[in-house]
Amino acid sequence: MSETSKKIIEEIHERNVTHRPRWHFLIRSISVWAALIAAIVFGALSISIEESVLEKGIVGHSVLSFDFVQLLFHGMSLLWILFTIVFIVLAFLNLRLVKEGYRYRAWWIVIGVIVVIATFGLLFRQEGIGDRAESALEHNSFYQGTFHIHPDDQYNQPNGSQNP
Amino acid sequence: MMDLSFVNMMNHDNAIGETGADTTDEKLVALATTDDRYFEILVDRYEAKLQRYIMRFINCSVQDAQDIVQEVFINAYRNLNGFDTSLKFSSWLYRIAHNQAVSHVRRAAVRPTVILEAENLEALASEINVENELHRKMDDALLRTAVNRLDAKYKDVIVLRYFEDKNYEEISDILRKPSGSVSSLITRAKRLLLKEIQKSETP
Repeated sequence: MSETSKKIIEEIHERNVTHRPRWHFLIRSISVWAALIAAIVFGALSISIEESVLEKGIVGHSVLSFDFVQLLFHGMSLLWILFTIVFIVLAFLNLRLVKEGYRYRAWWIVIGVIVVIATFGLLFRQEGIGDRAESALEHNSFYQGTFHIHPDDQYNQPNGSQNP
Repeated sequence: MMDLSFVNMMNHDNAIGETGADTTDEKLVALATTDDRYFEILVDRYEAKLQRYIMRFINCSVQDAQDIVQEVFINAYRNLNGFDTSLKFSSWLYRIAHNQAVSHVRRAAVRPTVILEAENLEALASEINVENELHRKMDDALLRTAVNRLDAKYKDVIVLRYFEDKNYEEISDILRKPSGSVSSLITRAKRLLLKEIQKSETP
Protein backbone atom coordinates (compact mmCIF):
# COMPACT_ATOMS: atom_id res chain seq x y z
CA MET A 1 0.00 0.00 0.00
CA SER A 2 1.40 3.39 -1.00
CA GLU A 3 2.02 6.18 1.50
CA THR A 4 -0.74 8.31 -0.03
CA SER A 5 -3.23 5.45 0.24
CA LYS A 6 -2.29 4.94 3.90
CA LYS A 7 -2.74 8.67 4.54
CA ILE A 8 -6.20 8.61 2.93
CA ILE A 9 -7.33 5.67 5.07
CA GLU A 10 -5.94 7.32 8.21
CA GLU A 11 -7.76 10.54 7.36
CA ILE A 12 -11.05 8.65 6.96
CA HIS A 13 -10.58 7.12 10.42
CA GLU A 14 -9.41 10.37 12.01
CA ARG A 15 -12.40 12.29 10.71
CA ASN A 16 -14.73 9.46 11.76
CA VAL A 17 -16.28 9.38 8.31
CA THR A 18 -19.14 6.90 8.12
CA HIS A 19 -21.17 5.47 5.25
CA ARG A 20 -24.41 7.32 4.64
CA PRO A 21 -27.20 4.82 5.35
CA ARG A 22 -29.00 3.08 2.52
CA TRP A 23 -32.31 4.75 3.41
CA HIS A 24 -30.73 8.17 2.74
CA PHE A 25 -30.28 7.25 -0.92
CA LEU A 26 -33.62 5.46 -1.06
CA ILE A 27 -35.46 8.54 0.25
CA ARG A 28 -33.62 10.79 -2.19
CA SER A 29 -34.51 8.52 -5.09
CA ILE A 30 -38.16 8.25 -3.99
CA SER A 31 -38.36 12.05 -3.59
CA VAL A 32 -37.11 12.65 -7.12
CA TRP A 33 -39.57 10.14 -8.58
CA ALA A 34 -42.44 11.50 -6.47
CA ALA A 35 -41.66 15.05 -7.62
CA LEU A 36 -41.55 13.84 -11.22
CA ILE A 37 -44.92 12.07 -10.93
CA ALA A 38 -46.45 15.11 -9.17
CA ALA A 39 -45.18 17.42 -11.94
CA ILE A 40 -46.71 15.14 -14.58
CA VAL A 41 -50.06 14.87 -12.74
CA PHE A 42 -50.32 18.63 -12.12
CA GLY A 43 -49.17 19.37 -15.68
CA ALA A 44 -51.89 17.06 -17.03
CA LEU A 45 -54.44 18.66 -14.70
CA SER A 46 -53.43 22.12 -15.98
CA ILE A 47 -53.97 20.97 -19.56
CA SER A 48 -57.40 19.51 -18.81
CA ILE A 49 -58.47 22.70 -16.99
CA GLU A 50 -57.09 24.74 -19.87
CA GLU A 51 -59.31 22.82 -22.30
CA SER A 52 -62.26 23.26 -19.98
CA VAL A 53 -61.68 27.03 -19.89
CA LEU A 54 -61.33 27.19 -23.66
CA GLU A 55 -64.55 25.27 -24.10
CA LYS A 56 -66.40 27.83 -21.99
CA GLY A 57 -65.28 30.41 -24.54
CA ILE A 58 -63.83 32.89 -22.08
CA VAL A 59 -60.61 33.47 -23.97
CA GLY A 60 -62.39 33.30 -27.30
CA HIS A 61 -64.40 36.36 -26.37
CA SER A 62 -61.25 38.26 -25.43
CA VAL A 63 -59.64 37.41 -28.73
CA LEU A 64 -62.71 38.44 -30.69
CA SER A 65 -62.80 41.76 -28.89
CA PHE A 66 -59.09 42.27 -29.76
CA ASP A 67 -58.51 43.12 -26.14
CA PHE A 68 -55.10 41.61 -25.66
CA VAL A 69 -54.56 43.17 -22.23
CA GLN A 70 -57.74 41.47 -21.17
CA LEU A 71 -56.49 38.29 -22.76
CA LEU A 72 -53.16 38.52 -20.95
CA PHE A 73 -54.38 39.40 -17.51
CA HIS A 74 -57.69 37.67 -17.32
CA GLY A 75 -57.26 34.83 -19.76
CA MET A 76 -57.39 31.87 -17.49
CA SER A 77 -56.27 29.65 -20.28
CA LEU A 78 -52.97 31.51 -20.42
CA LEU A 79 -52.61 31.07 -16.70
CA TRP A 80 -53.02 27.33 -17.08
CA ILE A 81 -50.68 27.25 -20.06
CA LEU A 82 -48.12 28.95 -17.82
CA PHE A 83 -48.72 26.35 -15.12
CA THR A 84 -48.33 23.57 -17.69
CA ILE A 85 -44.98 25.02 -18.79
CA VAL A 86 -43.83 25.25 -15.18
CA PHE A 87 -44.74 21.61 -14.59
CA ILE A 88 -43.06 20.55 -17.85
CA VAL A 89 -39.86 22.29 -16.68
CA LEU A 90 -40.12 20.65 -13.25
CA ALA A 91 -40.69 17.21 -14.80
CA PHE A 92 -37.68 17.78 -17.11
CA LEU A 93 -35.42 18.78 -14.21
CA ASN A 94 -36.50 15.75 -12.19
CA LEU A 95 -35.96 13.40 -15.09
CA ARG A 96 -32.40 14.69 -15.40
CA LEU A 97 -31.88 13.81 -11.74
CA VAL A 98 -33.18 10.25 -11.88
CA LYS A 99 -30.73 7.42 -12.37
CA GLU A 100 -29.41 7.43 -15.95
CA GLY A 101 -31.60 10.43 -16.82
CA TYR A 102 -28.50 12.20 -18.14
CA ARG A 103 -28.06 9.54 -20.82
CA TYR A 104 -30.86 11.06 -22.94
CA ARG A 105 -30.61 14.23 -24.97
CA ALA A 106 -32.38 17.21 -23.40
CA TRP A 107 -34.68 17.66 -26.41
CA TRP A 108 -35.85 14.06 -26.28
CA ILE A 109 -36.63 14.46 -22.60
CA VAL A 110 -38.57 17.67 -23.25
CA ILE A 111 -40.55 16.06 -26.09
CA GLY A 112 -41.18 12.94 -24.00
CA VAL A 113 -42.40 14.98 -21.02
CA ILE A 114 -44.72 17.07 -23.24
CA VAL A 115 -46.18 13.94 -24.86
CA VAL A 116 -46.77 12.23 -21.49
CA ILE A 117 -48.32 15.34 -19.91
CA ALA A 118 -50.52 16.01 -22.97
CA THR A 119 -51.68 12.36 -23.08
CA PHE A 120 -52.62 12.36 -19.40
CA GLY A 121 -54.20 15.80 -19.86
CA LEU A 122 -56.49 14.41 -22.58
CA LEU A 123 -57.33 11.42 -20.41
CA PHE A 124 -58.17 13.70 -17.47
CA ARG A 125 -60.33 15.77 -19.79
CA GLN A 126 -62.18 12.70 -21.06
CA GLU A 127 -62.82 11.65 -17.49
CA GLY A 128 -64.18 15.13 -16.71
CA ILE A 129 -61.45 15.82 -14.14
CA GLY A 130 -60.59 19.18 -15.74
CA ASP A 131 -64.22 20.38 -15.58
CA ARG A 132 -64.59 19.28 -11.98
CA ALA A 133 -61.31 20.97 -10.97
CA GLU A 134 -62.27 24.20 -12.72
CA SER A 135 -65.73 24.20 -11.12
CA ALA A 136 -64.14 23.60 -7.72
CA LEU A 137 -61.75 26.51 -8.27
CA GLU A 138 -64.63 28.82 -9.21
CA HIS A 139 -65.71 28.66 -5.56
CA ASN A 140 -62.31 29.93 -4.45
CA SER A 141 -62.55 33.67 -3.85
CA PHE A 142 -58.91 34.41 -4.74
CA TYR A 143 -59.14 32.54 -8.03
CA GLN A 144 -62.55 34.03 -8.75
CA GLY A 145 -61.43 37.55 -7.97
CA THR A 146 -58.05 37.42 -9.66
CA PHE A 147 -58.46 35.31 -12.73
CA HIS A 148 -62.02 34.39 -13.41
CA ILE A 149 -63.96 36.46 -15.93
CA HIS A 150 -67.30 35.11 -16.93
CA PRO A 151 -68.07 35.20 -20.68
CA ASP A 152 -70.98 37.55 -20.01
CA ASP A 153 -68.76 40.11 -18.29
CA GLN A 154 -68.56 43.52 -19.92
CA TYR A 155 -64.92 43.28 -21.03
CA ASN A 156 -65.46 40.00 -22.72
CA GLN A 157 -68.22 41.09 -25.01
CA PRO A 158 -67.15 40.77 -28.65
CA ASN A 159 -67.99 44.43 -29.36
CA GLY A 160 -66.67 45.64 -26.02
CA SER A 161 -70.07 47.16 -25.09
CA GLN A 162 -71.48 46.99 -21.60
CA ASN A 163 -74.39 44.85 -20.60
CA PRO A 164 -77.53 46.72 -19.61
CA MET B 1 -28.34 1.25 -5.17
CA MET B 2 -26.11 -1.64 -4.35
CA ASP B 3 -27.07 -5.25 -4.76
CA LEU B 4 -26.61 -7.03 -1.41
CA SER B 5 -26.38 -10.41 -3.10
CA PHE B 6 -22.75 -9.54 -3.87
CA VAL B 7 -22.02 -9.22 -0.16
CA ASN B 8 -23.78 -12.44 0.72
CA MET B 9 -22.03 -14.24 -2.08
CA MET B 10 -18.63 -12.90 -1.15
CA ASN B 11 -19.06 -13.49 2.58
CA HIS B 12 -19.04 -17.15 1.77
CA ASP B 13 -16.04 -16.75 -0.42
CA ASN B 14 -12.71 -16.15 1.23
CA ALA B 15 -10.83 -16.26 -2.04
CA ILE B 16 -10.02 -12.53 -2.00
CA GLY B 17 -6.37 -12.09 -1.18
CA GLU B 18 -4.57 -9.18 0.41
CA THR B 19 -4.46 -7.22 -2.84
CA GLY B 20 -7.78 -8.41 -4.27
CA ALA B 21 -6.05 -8.47 -7.64
CA ASP B 22 -8.61 -10.69 -9.38
CA THR B 23 -11.66 -9.20 -7.71
CA THR B 24 -13.77 -6.72 -9.63
CA ASP B 25 -14.22 -3.20 -8.31
CA GLU B 26 -17.95 -3.71 -7.98
CA LYS B 27 -17.51 -6.75 -5.72
CA LEU B 28 -14.98 -4.86 -3.63
CA VAL B 29 -17.41 -1.96 -3.25
CA ALA B 30 -20.12 -4.31 -2.02
CA LEU B 31 -17.70 -5.80 0.51
CA ALA B 32 -16.31 -2.40 1.52
CA THR B 33 -19.68 -1.36 2.96
CA THR B 34 -19.16 -3.89 5.75
CA ASP B 35 -15.38 -4.16 5.93
CA ASP B 36 -12.99 -1.22 5.46
CA ARG B 37 -10.12 -3.47 4.34
CA TYR B 38 -11.79 -3.83 0.95
CA PHE B 39 -12.04 -0.07 0.61
CA GLU B 40 -8.28 0.09 1.21
CA ILE B 41 -7.78 -2.16 -1.81
CA LEU B 42 -9.87 0.23 -3.90
CA VAL B 43 -7.93 3.24 -2.64
CA ASP B 44 -4.67 1.54 -3.51
CA ARG B 45 -5.99 0.60 -6.93
CA TYR B 46 -7.14 4.10 -7.94
CA GLU B 47 -5.16 6.64 -5.91
CA ALA B 48 -2.29 7.05 -8.40
CA LYS B 49 -4.59 7.04 -11.44
CA LEU B 50 -6.81 9.73 -9.97
CA GLN B 51 -3.87 11.87 -8.94
CA ARG B 52 -2.50 11.68 -12.49
CA TYR B 53 -5.92 12.52 -13.94
CA ILE B 54 -6.35 15.53 -11.66
CA MET B 55 -2.87 16.81 -12.44
CA ARG B 56 -3.51 16.44 -16.16
CA PHE B 57 -6.90 18.03 -15.87
CA ILE B 58 -6.11 21.12 -13.81
CA ASN B 59 -2.33 21.25 -13.69
CA CYS B 60 -2.13 21.73 -9.95
CA SER B 61 0.74 20.94 -7.59
CA VAL B 62 1.30 17.37 -6.38
CA GLN B 63 0.20 18.45 -2.91
CA ASP B 64 -3.04 19.94 -4.22
CA ALA B 65 -3.71 16.83 -6.31
CA GLN B 66 -3.16 14.61 -3.27
CA ASP B 67 -5.53 16.75 -1.22
CA ILE B 68 -8.17 16.52 -3.95
CA VAL B 69 -7.72 12.73 -4.22
CA GLN B 70 -8.13 12.45 -0.46
CA GLU B 71 -11.42 14.36 -0.62
CA VAL B 72 -12.53 12.17 -3.55
CA PHE B 73 -12.04 8.99 -1.52
CA ILE B 74 -13.66 10.47 1.58
CA ASN B 75 -16.69 11.40 -0.55
CA ALA B 76 -16.72 7.97 -2.16
CA TYR B 77 -16.49 6.27 1.25
CA ARG B 78 -19.34 8.38 2.61
CA ASN B 79 -21.58 7.61 -0.39
CA LEU B 80 -20.64 3.98 -0.91
CA ASN B 81 -24.19 2.78 -0.17
CA GLY B 82 -25.45 4.99 -2.98
CA PHE B 83 -23.12 3.55 -5.61
CA ASP B 84 -25.15 2.69 -8.68
CA THR B 85 -24.12 -0.82 -9.73
CA SER B 86 -25.23 -0.16 -13.31
CA LEU B 87 -22.16 2.10 -13.58
CA LYS B 88 -18.52 1.08 -13.57
CA PHE B 89 -16.94 1.93 -10.23
CA SER B 90 -14.11 3.73 -12.04
CA SER B 91 -16.64 5.97 -13.85
CA TRP B 92 -18.32 6.80 -10.56
CA LEU B 93 -14.97 7.59 -8.94
CA TYR B 94 -13.81 9.68 -11.91
CA ARG B 95 -17.10 11.58 -11.75
CA ILE B 96 -16.44 12.47 -8.10
CA ALA B 97 -12.84 13.39 -8.99
CA HIS B 98 -13.98 15.55 -11.91
CA ASN B 99 -16.49 17.42 -9.73
CA GLN B 100 -13.95 17.86 -6.96
CA ALA B 101 -11.36 19.20 -9.43
CA VAL B 102 -13.89 21.61 -10.94
CA SER B 103 -14.75 22.88 -7.43
CA HIS B 104 -11.05 23.34 -6.73
CA VAL B 105 -10.60 25.37 -9.93
CA ARG B 106 -13.65 27.50 -9.09
CA ARG B 107 -12.32 28.18 -5.61
CA ALA B 108 -8.90 29.08 -6.99
CA ALA B 109 -10.56 31.12 -9.78
CA VAL B 110 -7.91 30.26 -12.38
CA ARG B 111 -8.16 28.85 -15.90
CA PRO B 112 -6.70 25.34 -15.69
CA THR B 113 -3.84 24.34 -17.97
CA VAL B 114 -3.80 20.70 -18.94
CA ILE B 115 -0.52 18.77 -18.68
CA LEU B 116 -0.28 16.44 -21.67
CA GLU B 117 2.27 13.69 -22.14
CA ALA B 118 4.03 13.21 -25.49
CA GLU B 119 2.78 9.65 -26.14
CA ASN B 120 -0.85 10.69 -25.70
CA LEU B 121 -0.31 13.73 -27.85
CA GLU B 122 0.85 11.49 -30.69
CA ALA B 123 -2.33 9.44 -30.41
CA LEU B 124 -4.42 12.59 -30.51
CA ALA B 125 -2.43 14.00 -33.44
CA SER B 126 -2.99 10.89 -35.53
CA GLU B 127 -6.71 10.93 -34.60
CA ILE B 128 -7.21 14.42 -35.97
CA ASN B 129 -5.11 13.56 -39.04
CA VAL B 130 -2.75 16.40 -38.40
CA GLU B 131 0.10 14.68 -40.16
CA ASN B 132 -1.97 13.95 -43.25
CA GLU B 133 -3.42 17.40 -43.38
CA LEU B 134 -0.27 19.36 -42.84
CA HIS B 135 2.27 16.92 -44.29
CA ARG B 136 4.61 17.52 -41.44
CA LYS B 137 5.74 15.97 -38.24
CA MET B 138 3.50 17.09 -35.47
CA ASP B 139 4.86 19.63 -33.09
CA ASP B 140 3.86 18.54 -29.57
CA ALA B 141 4.10 22.03 -28.15
CA LEU B 142 1.70 23.31 -30.80
CA LEU B 143 -0.90 20.67 -30.01
CA ARG B 144 -0.43 21.15 -26.28
CA THR B 145 -1.12 24.89 -26.66
CA ALA B 146 -4.10 24.19 -28.90
CA VAL B 147 -5.64 21.76 -26.38
CA ASN B 148 -5.18 24.26 -23.60
CA ARG B 149 -6.91 26.94 -25.65
CA LEU B 150 -10.04 24.82 -25.98
CA ASP B 151 -13.15 25.55 -23.93
CA ALA B 152 -13.43 23.49 -20.73
CA LYS B 153 -16.21 21.31 -22.21
CA TYR B 154 -13.95 20.24 -25.11
CA LYS B 155 -10.87 19.89 -22.93
CA ASP B 156 -12.80 17.59 -20.55
CA VAL B 157 -13.68 15.10 -23.28
CA ILE B 158 -10.25 15.23 -24.96
CA VAL B 159 -8.43 14.50 -21.69
CA LEU B 160 -10.77 11.64 -20.81
CA ARG B 161 -10.72 10.12 -24.31
CA TYR B 162 -7.07 10.43 -25.29
CA PHE B 163 -5.23 10.71 -21.99
CA GLU B 164 -7.34 8.55 -19.66
CA ASP B 165 -8.33 6.13 -22.42
CA LYS B 166 -12.02 6.17 -21.54
CA ASN B 167 -14.65 5.07 -24.06
CA TYR B 168 -17.70 7.18 -24.99
CA GLU B 169 -20.00 5.42 -22.53
CA GLU B 170 -17.56 5.92 -19.67
CA ILE B 171 -17.13 9.60 -20.55
CA SER B 172 -20.91 9.92 -20.69
CA ASP B 173 -21.17 8.46 -17.17
CA ILE B 174 -18.32 10.58 -15.80
CA LEU B 175 -19.55 13.89 -17.20
CA ARG B 176 -23.28 13.01 -16.94
CA LYS B 177 -23.86 13.80 -20.60
CA PRO B 178 -25.58 11.69 -23.29
CA SER B 179 -23.18 9.52 -25.35
CA GLY B 180 -24.33 11.36 -28.49
CA SER B 181 -23.29 14.68 -26.98
CA VAL B 182 -19.92 13.23 -25.97
CA SER B 183 -19.36 12.03 -29.53
CA SER B 184 -20.33 15.46 -30.96
CA LEU B 185 -18.07 17.23 -28.46
CA ILE B 186 -15.10 15.04 -29.41
CA THR B 187 -15.70 15.58 -33.14
CA ARG B 188 -16.03 19.33 -32.66
CA ALA B 189 -12.97 19.44 -30.36
CA LYS B 190 -10.86 17.65 -32.99
CA ARG B 191 -12.09 20.03 -35.68
CA LEU B 192 -11.24 23.04 -33.48
CA LEU B 193 -7.80 21.59 -32.73
CA LEU B 194 -7.09 21.10 -36.41
CA LYS B 195 -8.23 24.63 -37.21
CA GLU B 196 -6.12 26.02 -34.39
CA ILE B 197 -3.05 24.13 -35.62
CA GLN B 198 -3.57 25.16 -39.23
CA LYS B 199 -3.90 28.78 -38.09
CA SER B 200 -0.60 28.52 -36.19
CA GLU B 201 1.04 26.96 -39.23
CA THR B 202 0.03 29.78 -41.58
CA PRO B 203 2.91 32.29 -41.79
